Amino acid sequence: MSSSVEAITVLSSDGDEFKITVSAAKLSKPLNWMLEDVCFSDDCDEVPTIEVNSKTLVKVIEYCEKHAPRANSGASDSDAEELKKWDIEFMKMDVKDILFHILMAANYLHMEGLYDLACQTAADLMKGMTVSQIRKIFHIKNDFSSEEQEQLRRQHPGCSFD
Amino acid sequence: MEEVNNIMEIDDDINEEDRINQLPDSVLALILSKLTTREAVRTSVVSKRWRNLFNSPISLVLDAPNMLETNKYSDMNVSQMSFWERSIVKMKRTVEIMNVVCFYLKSVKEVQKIEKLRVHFTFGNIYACILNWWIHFALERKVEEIDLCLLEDNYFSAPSEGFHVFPCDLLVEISSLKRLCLAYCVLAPGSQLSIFSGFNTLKTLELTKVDLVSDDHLQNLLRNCHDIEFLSFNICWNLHYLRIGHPICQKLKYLNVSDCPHLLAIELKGLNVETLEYKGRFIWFQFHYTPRLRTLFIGLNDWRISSGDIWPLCTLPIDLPQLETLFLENTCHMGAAMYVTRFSYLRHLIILKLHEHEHNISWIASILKCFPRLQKLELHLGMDSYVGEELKDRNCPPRCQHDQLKEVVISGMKGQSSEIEIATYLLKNATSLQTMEMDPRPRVYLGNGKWHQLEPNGIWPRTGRNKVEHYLRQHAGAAVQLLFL
Repeated sequence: MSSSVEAITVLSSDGDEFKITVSAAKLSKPLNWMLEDVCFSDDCDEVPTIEVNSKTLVKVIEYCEKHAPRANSGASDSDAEELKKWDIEFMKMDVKDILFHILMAANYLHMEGLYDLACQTAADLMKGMTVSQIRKIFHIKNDFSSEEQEQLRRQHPGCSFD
Repeated sequence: MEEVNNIMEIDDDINEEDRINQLPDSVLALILSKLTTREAVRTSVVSKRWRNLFNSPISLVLDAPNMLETNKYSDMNVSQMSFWERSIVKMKRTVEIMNVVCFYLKSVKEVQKIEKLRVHFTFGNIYACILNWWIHFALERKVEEIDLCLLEDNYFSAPSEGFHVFPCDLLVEISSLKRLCLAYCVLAPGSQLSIFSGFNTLKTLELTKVDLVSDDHLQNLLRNCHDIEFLSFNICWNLHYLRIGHPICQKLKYLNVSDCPHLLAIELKGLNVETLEYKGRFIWFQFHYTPRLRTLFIGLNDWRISSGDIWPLCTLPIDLPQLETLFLENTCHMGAAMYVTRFSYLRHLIILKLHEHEHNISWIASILKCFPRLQKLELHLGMDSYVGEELKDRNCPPRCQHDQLKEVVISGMKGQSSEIEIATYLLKNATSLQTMEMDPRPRVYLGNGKWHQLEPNGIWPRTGRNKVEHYLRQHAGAAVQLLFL
């Protein structure tokens, strides 16, 4: 790629165009490979498609742009603190609606930081919840027969399942 | 990626149901690994698919918050109980965690690889075989990190029997262990005669409140630490002479020795060690050919030292002429000791816990001439609540040019006159100074380059800051950047 390019254009799976700076795109290994392999200069026609829907891609790019300066240069502890607070705020937004898409996107784009953050958020939703509450939060059907359930109870005597 | 693409294409509105079940097992397992083990085990009854998800843990974290019901024991008012009642509760709790862990380990026995085993629970030596079974379980699954802390900080803490003896024998046959952290244990592999080979993959060994039994046992242990890079002894017993020399521990880069009560001497010979941090009483040091040792922390608290003693600073420039970074903590009467020394290559000086004994810190000005190449000076003032009166009739330190000094950091500022005095002195005499940073928050050095920042002292926001700023602006040249945090 030519060194003059600062931002690249990518397509979401819905066909919308998005701009992402080169330094932010480097947070994702597949995007980084694309940067190395494909010509991203201005006269290049090809716009790569990222298999992530528009709604999710907006969030992913927002995360990348915020984290890129620190990932590229390394920063002080106070910056790290600030970034942590930002992460918490970032995950607060419409979590249930979009969290699973972000999880999948972070997995697909090999973005360790975002993947870890999204897993932590999902785990936090389960903390202190009863089994039936967990089922309700994530819309999971209980497909055990009552005998099977009783057997599980016996296998883990130290734990309560209610 | 095929699976991922399909999921991304599913329309949001149609598929509200069961969204979490669309995630691959690897993602769900990682989510569960962020729960406590007790919570993760509970999820196995959520649905059939979830039944075995928790069965592939990457780490085994076996402690009370993770394995026991949160409130079951913490709600008990143990402090009101008699000794016998307390013993019974303690025993019940220990038996319960052993049962829960044994069931848990049986349910995860298919797992091939464990990265970390962590046990933080009060265990004395009477349950040794159970704990050793857990360690064996992890070792069989190629565990890379073991972290045992066998005394908890609560009412259940006091062990009624001896410390657990770490089962070194288990490591001899199978070991891929890279990091071992032990607290409240006995570590004493074999006797002098049998060569202990269990630690030859080990890179990090951190011991806190560990009984090392004898110097010979420790020598036997270190002799086979071929790969060790990080070694730390914090309040370890029965360590008298710490001798590390060629050809053992040739990869060692960092050595920390803190507050070991029996220690008399440290002898380092033919090592590549880069950083040594020592904290504790007066001991003897011998350095023979340690050319890469460039960072040294000396924290001395020994009231037997009188102002006439010039250890350790006097001999340091001879023993370690290559020293570049020096931390000095709480080293009483340093001023007197420093007049005779000269550190030719030292570029970074950090003085910690100032103010602890003397409110006059002007001696710092007089010792700076010992460091002709100093580029960065950090003064970290102590946390005591002393609020000094204006000290008058202080002799101003003689002028002395420090032309290499570019950066000064002063933390824990309260706005006292002695602080202003040293800062003014530096502004006047450091001709190449570029920045001076003043931070009211005291900083505590945690070791290995890590710091902890505390809340600022009370008077700084009200009066301290204005006073300091007023004085220092008068003396600061145009080239100097004054930073008030």
